[in-house]
Amino acid sequence: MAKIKLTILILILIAASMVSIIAGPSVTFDRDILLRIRLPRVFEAVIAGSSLSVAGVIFQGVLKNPLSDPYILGTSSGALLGAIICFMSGIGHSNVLFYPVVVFFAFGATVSSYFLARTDKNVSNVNLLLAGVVVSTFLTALVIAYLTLNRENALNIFSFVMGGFYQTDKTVLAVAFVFSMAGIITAGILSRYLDVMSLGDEKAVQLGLDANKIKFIFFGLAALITGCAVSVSGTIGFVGLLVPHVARLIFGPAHLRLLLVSGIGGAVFLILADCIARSVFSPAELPVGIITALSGAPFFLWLLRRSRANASE
Amino acid sequence: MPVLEVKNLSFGYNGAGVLKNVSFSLDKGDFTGILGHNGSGKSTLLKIISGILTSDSGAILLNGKPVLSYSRQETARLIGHVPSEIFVPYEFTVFETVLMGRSPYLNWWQGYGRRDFIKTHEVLERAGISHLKNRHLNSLSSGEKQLVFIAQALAQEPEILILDEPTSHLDINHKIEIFALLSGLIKEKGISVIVVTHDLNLAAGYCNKILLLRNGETIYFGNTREGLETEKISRSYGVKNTEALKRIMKGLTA
Repeated sequence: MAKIKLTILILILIAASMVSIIAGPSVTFDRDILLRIRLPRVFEAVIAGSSLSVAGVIFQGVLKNPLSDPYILGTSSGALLGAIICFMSGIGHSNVLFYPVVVFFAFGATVSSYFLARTDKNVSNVNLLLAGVVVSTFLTALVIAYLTLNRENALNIFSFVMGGFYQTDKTVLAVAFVFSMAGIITAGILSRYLDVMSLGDEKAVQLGLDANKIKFIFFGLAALITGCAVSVSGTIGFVGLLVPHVARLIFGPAHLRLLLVSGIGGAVFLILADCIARSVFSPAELPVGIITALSGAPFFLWLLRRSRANASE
Repeated sequence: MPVLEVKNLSFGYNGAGVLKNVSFSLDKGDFTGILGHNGSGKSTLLKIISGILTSDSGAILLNGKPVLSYSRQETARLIGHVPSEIFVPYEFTVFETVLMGRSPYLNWWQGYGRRDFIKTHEVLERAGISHLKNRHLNSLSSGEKQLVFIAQALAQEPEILILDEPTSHLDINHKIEIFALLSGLIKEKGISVIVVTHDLNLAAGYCNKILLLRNGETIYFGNTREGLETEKISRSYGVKNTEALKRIMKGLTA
């Protein structure tokens, strides 16, 4: 049964890619447009979508918190700040230093949210949300301040802040793809730890795990994966929240399967979101982050209400 | 040699003493009940034994060696801890949940193997919940859920099983079912059990030893019959109406 569902999902991925490549803002079979413009875009959506979704699965599992994802915890804004700092200091995408800096900031922001939320060795779901809001608001403020002071670059970076697929450099895409895949595969190998962690820290310790160490390893993996996504396409919200939840409803919570399915599902989601973003007001183009936020925010509210209802039972 | 020895254990949260100088020991095959009022330090004691909390002073010996000399995984192969209540926000199946009890036997890169699946089936069978194996955790009654986490702890193949109020939300039928399961396991597998409970009836019926706590101090440790005397129970729980307690205790030990 699960195999059939997985096959269907893969078929949907292929179909979505075809639609996005051929249909785009207008149907065309021009070889140059298809291969040089639309194909890299779809590939970018695949990298960003699967990375952000997998990072969401990791956070939701390791923190036993269904309301977390890289956008909410500040991981994405950390990566964004890292990228902006790189641009400021003249370190571009092609510089080897770029990725470590971005990942370092993503990790730093995540750990900050986590420790801000922690009181007496306990991290409540609500505290974590609040801490995430504080951290990402602060970091985004820094980014906006930079944008305001450097108007000549603003338009370029603005699209980066709202998220979008404008990166067409093949090397950049390849590097981001390789590193994010490495992170995703590592998460897959370690997936049984996510299962145990989603029973809570205490249970994990009772089952012989070093809960704190595991948490930081997964924070590191999620930062790496998110950093890759943000490097190519900026911050895109709600993907990491929406996709894992839908995947869990259909495929169950066991993490090995969930990581795989969310990876594919995230790719499908962003391919379609991007397709909509550039078609609806064509020739003008919306940042893809607008589409994901418009669909993701109501979903998040619904989740929040549901988790409150569960908690008060 | 006792399987578990707790010596002069003290522990405090932020300076407030929760446990003061607690000592007791557990022999192979013991069924020990820990009793005391709410906040007397019972759950904290269990958490220290299973390594979730570290004591401020005193020692815990597992098979004669200090508990801190074991790795976490080694400890988890010796002690199975069933918490009083556990909320899981995701819909794992019973089988998936019990399988996680095999974690202490896996290297970090390893996934579950054939042996782990066989063992999981075996403990599901033993706990009498094989028929629930494909059900979702949150669709179960609290009694069934309790059995799932007991089965998970059994999958750890522990020498000591500790349970924190396993029957507090259950009716008498399910209470007996769980205590009978525990006492059966002691006979079959030669394990030892520590159970925190508020239920004097069950303690009288199943435990061979009891530990009475009051405000983190030991009131009594020893065999159950002597421990369940009116005077000790009333001291441990601070019972004011001793006449009524006497009447109840008479029925218990008869």
